[in-house]
Amino acid sequence: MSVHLDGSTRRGDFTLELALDVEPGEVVAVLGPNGSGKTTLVDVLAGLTGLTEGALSGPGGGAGDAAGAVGWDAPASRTWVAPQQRRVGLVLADPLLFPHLSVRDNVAFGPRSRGAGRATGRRTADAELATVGLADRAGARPSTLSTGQAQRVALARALAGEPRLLLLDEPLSALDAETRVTTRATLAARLRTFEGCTVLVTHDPLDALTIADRLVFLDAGRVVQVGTPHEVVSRPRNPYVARVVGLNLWRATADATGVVRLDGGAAVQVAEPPDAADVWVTVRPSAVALWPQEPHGSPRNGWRLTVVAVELAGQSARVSLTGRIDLVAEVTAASVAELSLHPGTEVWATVKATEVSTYAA
Amino acid sequence: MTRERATTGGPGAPARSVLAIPAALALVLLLLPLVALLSRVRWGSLGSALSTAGAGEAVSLSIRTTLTTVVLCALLGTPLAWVLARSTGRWLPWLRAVVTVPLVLPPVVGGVALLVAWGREGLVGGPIHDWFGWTIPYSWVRVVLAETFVSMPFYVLAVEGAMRALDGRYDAVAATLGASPWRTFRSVVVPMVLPGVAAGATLAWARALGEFGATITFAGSFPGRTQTAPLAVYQALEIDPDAATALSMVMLLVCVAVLALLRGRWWR
Repeated sequence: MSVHLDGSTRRGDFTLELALDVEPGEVVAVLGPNGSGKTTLVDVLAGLTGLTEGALSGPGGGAGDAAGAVGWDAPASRTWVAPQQRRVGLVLADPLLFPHLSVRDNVAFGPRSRGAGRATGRRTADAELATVGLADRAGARPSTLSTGQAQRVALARALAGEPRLLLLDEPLSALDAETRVTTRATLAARLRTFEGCTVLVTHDPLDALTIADRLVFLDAGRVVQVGTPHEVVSRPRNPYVARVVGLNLWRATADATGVVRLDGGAAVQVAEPPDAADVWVTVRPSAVALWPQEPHGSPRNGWRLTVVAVELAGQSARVSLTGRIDLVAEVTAASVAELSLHPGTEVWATVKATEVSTYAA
Repeated sequence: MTRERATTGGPGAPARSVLAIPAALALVLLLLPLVALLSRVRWGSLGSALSTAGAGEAVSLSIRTTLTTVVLCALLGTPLAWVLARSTGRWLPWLRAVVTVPLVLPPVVGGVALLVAWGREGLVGGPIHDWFGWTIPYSWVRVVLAETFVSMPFYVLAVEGAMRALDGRYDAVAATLGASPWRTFRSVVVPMVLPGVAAGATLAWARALGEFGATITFAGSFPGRTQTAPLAVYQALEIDPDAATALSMVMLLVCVAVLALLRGRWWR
């Protein structure tokens, strides 16, 4: 009853290589910059876009094999299951509730489309609305709902059809900050009891880290990293992934003596020599210290760099630096003032050898 | 329900600029004939003038045929509009052009085309006559065919415009909810484009009511059978101008009444 996708599709003159596996009960978050192919991936899974090569099998709709998996889309064998037969639920950034139907009839639309009677449809809808805390708004018109309520109704509508695959495409991105927090909580709670497969497309790492069991990163139309939130946060393997989880990341080579040299040419001192020649090097921004002059003392990495940008968030600041290497440092708001950090300022950045971690690429 | 009142004293105030002259001229061109028509009506002898013109039969035939035409447009034109709105084939621009042709075709030419299609010797009418010995009679059926031919493009273009403006993700969501294309069309698309359907139906109805050239060419002008109100007006003009103005005024009233009924609902 799982989803298995391995294939490609064309969007304009741009080919997307798509690979994804989702198990029942699992929430897989898909992250990637704009134009990386996230929405195309959703369209392929929902049956709104076809593959040009490869195959997609999904949980249900039509005749399946012994394990319950059904070929949904395989251009080579001319297999194609239409969206309405796939048992997929779709929630987009806009709720897209049908404006001419009441909230209850919106939620009952799926069951009614699949042949449920009027009374059954209403019962299913009311039960589903109760799980997202909107039982009292069943008779309302969609136009009278707040955006957060409308998005919860959209979730209830998608789930009322008992989908085996739930597709959430940026479900929280159109909400304001406060509504997003409560809606995220509703979503997370509802997904815990959902037994089907879930694919959550998002650009917000917080959604991904709090809701998902596994993360898939797309960049420029292909999968660049797959892993549990813990793996991805501690060991990014792609510059985009590193930016999302807020780590400095470089590709590097280690020679026999244990000296690690970044691809840009700078050498880095590490506490433990890596056990591979081809490695990734990460440094937490908070492990970077900034100094007005070259510091002396314990063995550490030091570079003379120029400030590119300073972003303040509460009591800490992220300082982007460039020079021999590109580096992001996280310092206190007080040190921004003390060192008078602004674009163009030259500073010394140091990182203790023990704060540099390496792992095989 | 309150409606915003148009003001002429706002910041732009185009009514006080040089634009007022052509605007006023346009109004005169539109209104003068209508005022003239009303001024010529002899209210005293209105009843007898109307009966001379055969107004009752003509107006009733016009109303029956135009309403049938609107129903036909809605039943057949709405699905066509949806096909045009959501198809992406290379043939689509051609199909759309074909739908538009009756819109620009001189109605008399349309009538000739209808004759050579459905007439006794026509492309379709000929074989039907040969095999079944039957021809479409000179009755309201021919009137409806002529009116549908000229009105359908107005209906289809108006409804297709509304359907294309409908966010395609609504169809996508409906499909993932298990709705067949027919259910999506019936339960989601049509209810959401109702204002467009109403506008299209009004346009089609108005076009059918004014239909003259195609009807007289294809259906003739037989009083009580194919003589619609515009045909009756034209014929009365040759016999009794008073009867023509009287009947024209009745048609004007019908049109104004329908517009007034629709205005509050769809044209705010």
